[in-house]
Amino acid sequence: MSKSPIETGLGKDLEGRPNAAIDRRSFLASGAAVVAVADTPAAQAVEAIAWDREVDVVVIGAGAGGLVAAIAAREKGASVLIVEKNFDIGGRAMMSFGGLYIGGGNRLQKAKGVEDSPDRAFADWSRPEKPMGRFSDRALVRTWADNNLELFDWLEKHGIKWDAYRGVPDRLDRNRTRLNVVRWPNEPTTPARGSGFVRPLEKTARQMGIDILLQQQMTKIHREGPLAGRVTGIATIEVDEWFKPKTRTMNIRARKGIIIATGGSAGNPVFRTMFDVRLTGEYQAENSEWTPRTGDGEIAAMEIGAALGATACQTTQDDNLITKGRMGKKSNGTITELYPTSPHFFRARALGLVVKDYQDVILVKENGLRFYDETVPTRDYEYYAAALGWTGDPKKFNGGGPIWAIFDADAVVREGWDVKPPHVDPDGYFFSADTIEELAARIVNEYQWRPMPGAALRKTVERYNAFVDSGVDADFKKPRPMFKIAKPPFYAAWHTPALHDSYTGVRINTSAQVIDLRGNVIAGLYACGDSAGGFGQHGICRAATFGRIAGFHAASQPS
Amino acid sequence: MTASVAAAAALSLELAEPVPPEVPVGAQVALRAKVSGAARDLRGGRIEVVVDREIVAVTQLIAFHDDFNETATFTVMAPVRVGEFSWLIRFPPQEIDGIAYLESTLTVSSQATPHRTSLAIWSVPSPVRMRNRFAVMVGAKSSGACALGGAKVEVRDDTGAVVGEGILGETPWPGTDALYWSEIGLPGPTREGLQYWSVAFAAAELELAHLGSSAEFSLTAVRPPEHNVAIRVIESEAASPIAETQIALGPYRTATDETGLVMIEVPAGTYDLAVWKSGFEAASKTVEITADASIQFELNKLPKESTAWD
Repeated sequence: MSKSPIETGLGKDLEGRPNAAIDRRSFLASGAAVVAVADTPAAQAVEAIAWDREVDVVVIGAGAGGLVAAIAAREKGASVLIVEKNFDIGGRAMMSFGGLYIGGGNRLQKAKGVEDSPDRAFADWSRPEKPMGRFSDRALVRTWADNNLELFDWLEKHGIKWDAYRGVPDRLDRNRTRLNVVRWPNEPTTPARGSGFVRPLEKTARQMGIDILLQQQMTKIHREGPLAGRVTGIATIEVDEWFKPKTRTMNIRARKGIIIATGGSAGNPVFRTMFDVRLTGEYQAENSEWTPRTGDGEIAAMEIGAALGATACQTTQDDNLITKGRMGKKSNGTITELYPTSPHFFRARALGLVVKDYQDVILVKENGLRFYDETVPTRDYEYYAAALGWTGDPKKFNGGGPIWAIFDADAVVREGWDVKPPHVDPDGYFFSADTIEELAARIVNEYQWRPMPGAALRKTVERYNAFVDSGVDADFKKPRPMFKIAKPPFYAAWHTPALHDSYTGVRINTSAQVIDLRGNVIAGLYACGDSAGGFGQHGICRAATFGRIAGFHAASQPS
Repeated sequence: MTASVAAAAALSLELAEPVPPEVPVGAQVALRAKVSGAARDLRGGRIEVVVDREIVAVTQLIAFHDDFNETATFTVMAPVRVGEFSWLIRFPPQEIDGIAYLESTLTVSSQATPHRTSLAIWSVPSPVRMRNRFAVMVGAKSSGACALGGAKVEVRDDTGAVVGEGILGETPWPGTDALYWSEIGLPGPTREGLQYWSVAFAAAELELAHLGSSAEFSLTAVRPPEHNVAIRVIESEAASPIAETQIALGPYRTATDETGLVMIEVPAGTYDLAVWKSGFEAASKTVEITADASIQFELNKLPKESTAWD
């Protein structure tokens, strides 16, 4: 049996046993003995910070996890403040399909004749034969499964209206556990169903007296010592509608706890390239016009000592960490979009085009050359490996540069695309021209490191058109090429892969407490949702499960 | 009162951006002139562009930045003939706010080059019946968006022989900026199978100099049809017809109707039959056609998660 201090510490805190939390009193009482960093004065006084606000629990981020955490903490009597850097609440969940993996044998499952239990949910989502299941922290998966039934009732109590279970099992489900919420009526921002999760919770939160400060970005988490002691509060800066910092800053004291719910790191190239160095700046995080997901919480937590959790979940090359996305707009995520009338649309600039049939386009890299069978499914990671391959930029060896969909006037008719704004963004992400050579010359984009060679693109198109005649794609084995790219005008649409979830984040235990690099709890600090590592499950339920646990636990802390 | 004369050496004239080393003939070249050395507000000062002792453009200094004055962006037309050219940018002797300034000049040189051209070829029948006349559409575009109406384009077969020509019309193809086009009738190929033909555009005798261009297009020539092939596509589980399924029987490409059916006339032979519908597994098989035939194809739906996600 191992007795090493680190392993012992890990075992104790990661299991989330009641005595694991190092609250301030025990920290001060035990002095340097529990402090891993020797040069930190253990009994250092709370930093001399002029607090502008003071509450029991500060929640960073008003998305699915943050709203749930705030309500949970308030329910247990804590005073709660949420800071959110957007000018509306909702985070990632607002733009989502509003689906939760929530089962365990609830009344809706029973009504459908679905036999489920926490044991079955746990078994499904920790399956070793599936990349999506094998890398998760099973203690967290178990916690999720064991909380399903209670969470179902709790969310209903706080205003969530359930729609229906999906017709077929989704992702790791063998049972059907993916349950959709009912879209918020008359939601003005997006047709996505996710409003049916965040708007009811916003209403509940406000009714409970939870204060939500919008356009406030957290810039720092204060801790007693640089790498020791409790967390004491956060620093924020007011940001404009483009998330650019303004001048007004604040320090907000958190007497009991701080809950990180900042939505993950998919939109931060510096952060995400720690896990996959190919994911350089040209890859856009989908829906970043709504929620930039720049890893704010993870970075602030790591700066005070937090570890990352289950990073292998991020590198599984499974599920939809990366996707083909829409085309013709910069933030080219999946299906859900803002309404053009949404107050946020100025950041999106376009709706983008959805490709129904990849026979209608060829995909080329910045050099005008095809690189893969265009028709492969969106979870074909060999496609992304080719898309992310190097094509000769002497100043940038990682990432693969832009991918452009090239098509003609006939394809526009077959697909029924509207190739004008607001559907496409002609400012760098969508081009048209009378001939193929002129199309190549028109492509000017911040990530296109050289002009696309027009002769190369013309050769690519002529060669592809001959494949349509011969019936065989001699280069990439696309299933029988069906349509030539011939009829003017011609089009080039940004179709660079887009990034979706974050499946790693700060390491948490089953109480959603953040763990440091030595395996010890950072007292008072919690994380949930895509900002928390450990459970590679897509969607809102992971956020809600650990948000709720975090809220309850933080509220129970001494102030 | 007599105006004092500023030190001539102190004034210097330059361009905010250099003239590109090559500019297309007849193109409007954007210039912005800067005058420095005066350390005074020279706004209203005159700037000229002189070509062959003739003033071709006049503008004024409109912005004062402490250590220099500059004009707004103005344009000068590049020569219409190909070759090297020079422009004299000139700050003529003039008096501004009671101070007389001496002349200052700057000579800039560049090369006037022909416009480029490029081509599009479309509406090539698929396939083309051997020895039967057919038509293709050919469009030509000038990089300067110059009118190309009246210019000639030639079509050559795979031996390089000119087999047809067309005169570009006066109106651009709908939806394009300046693609001038012609429908060109052509003799049917005498050889069966895939071949590469080409279009050449000499771009001669245009008002402004243009470089010619050429482009290749492929076509497949087939013998006259002999048999009717009926192809029906159904979904494997429900056995329901699948409309708008793309069918390729050898070089014959078409799509099913709402009953999942399509009829194709082909000569006898062995064909690859490929069926494509987005969201279904791609399917193909080899068929031998020796008489009228009826073929049924069953397609399997792809699982939703492999085609879309959320």
